Amino acid sequence: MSSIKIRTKRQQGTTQIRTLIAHPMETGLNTDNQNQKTIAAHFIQTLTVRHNDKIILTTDMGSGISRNPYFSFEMKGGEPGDKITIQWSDNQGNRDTQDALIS
Amino acid sequence: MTKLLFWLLVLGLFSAAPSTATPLNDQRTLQQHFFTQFPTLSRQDFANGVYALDPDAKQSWLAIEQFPPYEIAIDRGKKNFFTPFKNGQRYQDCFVDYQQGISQHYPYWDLKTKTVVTLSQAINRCRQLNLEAPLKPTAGDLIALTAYLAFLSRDQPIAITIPPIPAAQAAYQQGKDYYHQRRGQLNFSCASCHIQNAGKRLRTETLSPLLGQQLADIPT
Amino acid sequence: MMQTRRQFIKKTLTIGGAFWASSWLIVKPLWAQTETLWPIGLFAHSKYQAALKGITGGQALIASKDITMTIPRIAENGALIPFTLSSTLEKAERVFVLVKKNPVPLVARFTLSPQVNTQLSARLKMAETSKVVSIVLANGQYYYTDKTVKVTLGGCGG
Repeated sequence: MSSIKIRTKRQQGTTQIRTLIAHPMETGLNTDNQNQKTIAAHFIQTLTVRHNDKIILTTDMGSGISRNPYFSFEMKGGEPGDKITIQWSDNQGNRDTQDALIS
Repeated sequence: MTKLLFWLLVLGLFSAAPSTATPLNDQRTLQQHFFTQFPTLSRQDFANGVYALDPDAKQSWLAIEQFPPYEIAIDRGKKNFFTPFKNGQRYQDCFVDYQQGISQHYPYWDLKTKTVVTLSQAINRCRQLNLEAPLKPTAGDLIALTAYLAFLSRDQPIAITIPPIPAAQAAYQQGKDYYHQRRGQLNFSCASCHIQNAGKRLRTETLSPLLGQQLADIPT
Repeated sequence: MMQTRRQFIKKTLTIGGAFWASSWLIVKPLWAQTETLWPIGLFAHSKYQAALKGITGGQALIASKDITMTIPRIAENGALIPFTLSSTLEKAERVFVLVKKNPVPLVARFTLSPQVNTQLSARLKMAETSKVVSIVLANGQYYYTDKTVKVTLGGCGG
């Protein structure tokens, strides 16, 4: 199962792109209640949004973004069948990518 | 165990328990208390908990509902719910009515074992019947399963009945006593905040009324 | 990927394409620099003023009424604060979101192509009551707006 959920909605002349990503977004400052050890920092660093394979937006973030990050963006235009791709990479070298077609 | 009884109380208050005088009377008294205290709220509004009282919190809640992070847990719970056990059975074979929503009937008094049974316990009973190890109460899989089942019960009124037998009534009373027991550094009981002072602020938090509180409002 | 480009550029330089390579890098707008790495330096600051200087290079911020930030006055949950920003400033290239008193004040940096509007939502964590500052880089100027969000530990949960 992909870590990325994408929802698009065409509005008047624009397309709203919303995404929810399953990710712990650990700051590295928290302690595990079970063993009192510090939980290693683990957060998404970069998220890119592509429209038909062309980058339209990049977000660089720290661990100040909430766990299971949510973002919404607004793209000019957008036609049914256009491809939106969202990709993330985190500080531990993980990455994921997901496509969605505008309905 | 006490915690379970506590939830039996909280949820049981809103049940239409026939011929059980005490819980039903308590329910009416409490409803009257809150309807008088918050005359502008409809009965239905109370289901939204603190969001019915606090416009700031409501705004945040509605923004989060646009694409709620709990969808991740619900997806996981749904996947688990339909994944067969080693013997080929599934959760849905234990919970045949799941599509209509079942979590509004929990916790309930189990006549056979003479105990209060929560949804989490029922899930673990289902596992044991199918020769699977029970899940820990804090396990993500168990939480995800209950989240999925609770989601299927969305907008269904809580429907818990407390049978008119002494043991069940005693469990109700134990939960009620727990709710009114003062404890902790501030010497508050649950009731201090959620009955006597509901709607007021404690630091920056608005205190939610007991009426309408659901499992989702369990303080961590 | 960065490595590849560096090697590529190095190669280009060595074969005498210095002019082409450097002008291409300068001309290419921010959003099109697809292979830039996460800006570790910007997120390394633990003090707001230092983080701000890292962003603007010391250039003054201009208060702007053309940026609208929607964020609750009181956070119900400091770990999950809904945030929305919209701006009518022309030629916006970047948006920075900072929480002054967070252990790492810079929360996010958005790099916008001309194909997107300055209309963003996110969810933030806040450690304590603080000002939230949104900065929009447009036409070489840094415009901002800010709002205070109250955060305390919950009454029950702690």
